[in-house]
Amino acid sequence: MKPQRKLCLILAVGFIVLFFWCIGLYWSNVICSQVTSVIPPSSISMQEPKELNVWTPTPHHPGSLSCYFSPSTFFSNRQIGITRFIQTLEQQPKQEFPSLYMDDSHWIDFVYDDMTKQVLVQQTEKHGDKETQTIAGYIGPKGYSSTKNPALGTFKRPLLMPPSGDHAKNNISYFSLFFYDPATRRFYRIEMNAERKFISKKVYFTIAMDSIKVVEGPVQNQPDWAPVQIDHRLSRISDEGPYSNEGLYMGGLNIRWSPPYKVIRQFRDSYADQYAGVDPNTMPDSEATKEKIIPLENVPIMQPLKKDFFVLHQNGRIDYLDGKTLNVVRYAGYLPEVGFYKNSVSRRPRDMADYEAFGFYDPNGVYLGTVTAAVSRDGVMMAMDFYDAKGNLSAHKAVDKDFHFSNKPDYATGISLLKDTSNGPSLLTIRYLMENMQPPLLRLLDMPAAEWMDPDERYSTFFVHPNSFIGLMKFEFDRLGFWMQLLFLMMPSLAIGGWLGVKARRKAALLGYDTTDKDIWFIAILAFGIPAYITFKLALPKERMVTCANCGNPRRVEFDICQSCKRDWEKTKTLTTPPDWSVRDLAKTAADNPPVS
Amino acid sequence: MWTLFKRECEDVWYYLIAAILLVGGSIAFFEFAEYSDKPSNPEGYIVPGFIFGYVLLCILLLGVGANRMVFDRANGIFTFYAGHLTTRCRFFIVRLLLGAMFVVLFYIPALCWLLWKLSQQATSPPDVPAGKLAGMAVFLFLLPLTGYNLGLRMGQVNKKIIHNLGSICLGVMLFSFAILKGFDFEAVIVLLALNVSLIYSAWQRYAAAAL
Repeated sequence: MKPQRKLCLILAVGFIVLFFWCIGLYWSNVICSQVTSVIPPSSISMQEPKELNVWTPTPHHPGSLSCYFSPSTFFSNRQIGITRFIQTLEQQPKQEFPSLYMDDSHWIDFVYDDMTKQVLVQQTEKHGDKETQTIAGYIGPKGYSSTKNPALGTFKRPLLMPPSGDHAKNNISYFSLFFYDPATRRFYRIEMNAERKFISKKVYFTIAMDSIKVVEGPVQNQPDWAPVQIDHRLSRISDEGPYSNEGLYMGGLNIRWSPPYKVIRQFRDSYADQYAGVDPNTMPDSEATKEKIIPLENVPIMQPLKKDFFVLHQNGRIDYLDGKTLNVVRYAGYLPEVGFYKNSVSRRPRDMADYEAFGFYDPNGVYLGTVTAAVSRDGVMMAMDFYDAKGNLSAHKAVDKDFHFSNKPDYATGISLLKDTSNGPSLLTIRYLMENMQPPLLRLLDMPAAEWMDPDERYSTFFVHPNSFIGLMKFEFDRLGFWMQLLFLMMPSLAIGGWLGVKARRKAALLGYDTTDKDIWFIAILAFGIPAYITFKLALPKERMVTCANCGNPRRVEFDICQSCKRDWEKTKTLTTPPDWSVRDLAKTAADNPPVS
Repeated sequence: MWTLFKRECEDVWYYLIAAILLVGGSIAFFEFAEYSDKPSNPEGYIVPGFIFGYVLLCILLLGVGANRMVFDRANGIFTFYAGHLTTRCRFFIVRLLLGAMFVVLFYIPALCWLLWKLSQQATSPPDVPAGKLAGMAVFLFLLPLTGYNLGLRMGQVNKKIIHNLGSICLGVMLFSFAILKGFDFEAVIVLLALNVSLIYSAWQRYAAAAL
């Protein structure tokens, strides 16, 4: 076989082996991640009045702010591959902008169009099973038009926000849609008059198209201005943006606010049902004896912002946007720092499996502060922060190495948590060894992969694993500790690669490969580990070997010299003198010497 | 070439009938199930019905591929090995075409059926982006083709036990990949690369086999 063809064949076989090897590694990686992420405690909480100090509490009945994380939700909702696609088909797709229903068979969607780069007002009419869609208008930065009008200007992939409006007024509602355009660094608001009506408990709108107008906000020139999400309540979304088909993830992280019982009864229907008709003062001890009547005006409320928005930036900073002036009015806080080990601690939303942010208000609607919570990319570490109205961090909670709740961010890493649990060390070791089955070169690519990919996408990666120990590391090339850590994490895979490389090199030498081939195989096996070694074994020529008379090693019969000792074949002795015997021709002899009669 | 193709089709006629029964039967079954369960769950059977038939079709193609390289008719002689390189090349191309024909014949109607069923849903027609739909179509085409090519490659392994076990294990792993990757662009590229590698590797092995 020609060398080029042989090279192609080896590459083809190598790819096939790597493909199937990576499938096995992928599932082992998923199992390891899942097992390690179910170990940490699933909730952390802050107790009033000790930590939060946002209102005047009653002495016996403090409320509590808790953050729950459910790894099972975390895994089941981040569907992969075909499963995710089927889920997309079977679930009601979410709209990018809301649908406003005129009646059951007539509604309006607001959709950003990539072709015109404007927001389309799309009318849909349904007759039986058929739906007909027409474009009722175009919205650009300069305003609204019922026909296509380039003079309206264009947007550049705007960040979409959920709708906001005052629905409480009688029938007439001033309906607004918000979005942010990264090209102009401005916020926009689309306003319209929408008459609201109730028909059989459903809400319908009559929209005056002529009333649509676009309000432009001021340019945002703050430093580190890089919004990634704008919402009343922040939580993890997919790359496709909020309210899209991809945004099926329901969230494994939830912040809950548990005010004292009396308040619960008045605010939450489910609790109210449970104790319906019962006087709190006559309840059993556990329920009500310690409880005092708490005036509602003293109790804060945790809820999504109503007319205002949180703006979350790439670096984890959260700003507070006034929906009326379309300007950032204050700094609200940061997402908490979470990570698997110190080198991986981060506040960036991209490095988190899930996060949440809620606003805190007093009953009069005055902003009291923001609570933020986050789970690390691998689902192991969790932390919660509370920022007061001025944006100062007033309380921090994370899980520390002793499995207790702590306010020391230094200890808040997942590895310290796992090391101190009963099965943690062995699970960590298994995960460490399994990850080292990955080819060393691909392991190095885990780091840039983690930088580029969302935590959600870890289920979609194939050759690399962004959530491996190496993937969780941050680039710090100027730090010696980084290189030492990298070496430690890669040591088994490098050792396996090196050992198999040496083995293959010896085998290649035995088979008479030339030096270049031997070196290439050694480097390839060092870089690609076990799959490359399997390829090497598959690519071995099926040669017939004989034992060399000189060195005793196997030697190829088609070579002139032994590949081990370079000795030529031993030639048979050439006859220089005729032998003293000859073949007799019996017939001729008989003719020459006739028998004597 | 056409004669060779006809001969190949004659060799696998029972597989063709099996594929017809499989696809037709699974569609009919799930149509029936959907009809009988319409009030409670009108959409629940469409996609699973398609997936079920599709998976079986892929397994069947794996078997066809392996069969083509292991057995040959012509009075028990391995005609595959009997020809010169040009003849072998023709045989190989014909067998690749046979796999593509299987996929086109049985996958295209099934995909059309799926899309038709989805468009018939009265409530909330799925708003699937066009790019995703294209990715899905290409992926669903490539996966059974990969199964067939994997069969061709495994059929070139002389030891039949290894061949049988390998076909099963690698087939399962291929589906594992499908579950993992779904219909994205990267999956299509990886599958294309795998197909090229499998075909090239099978051809080199086949061409180098002793006469």
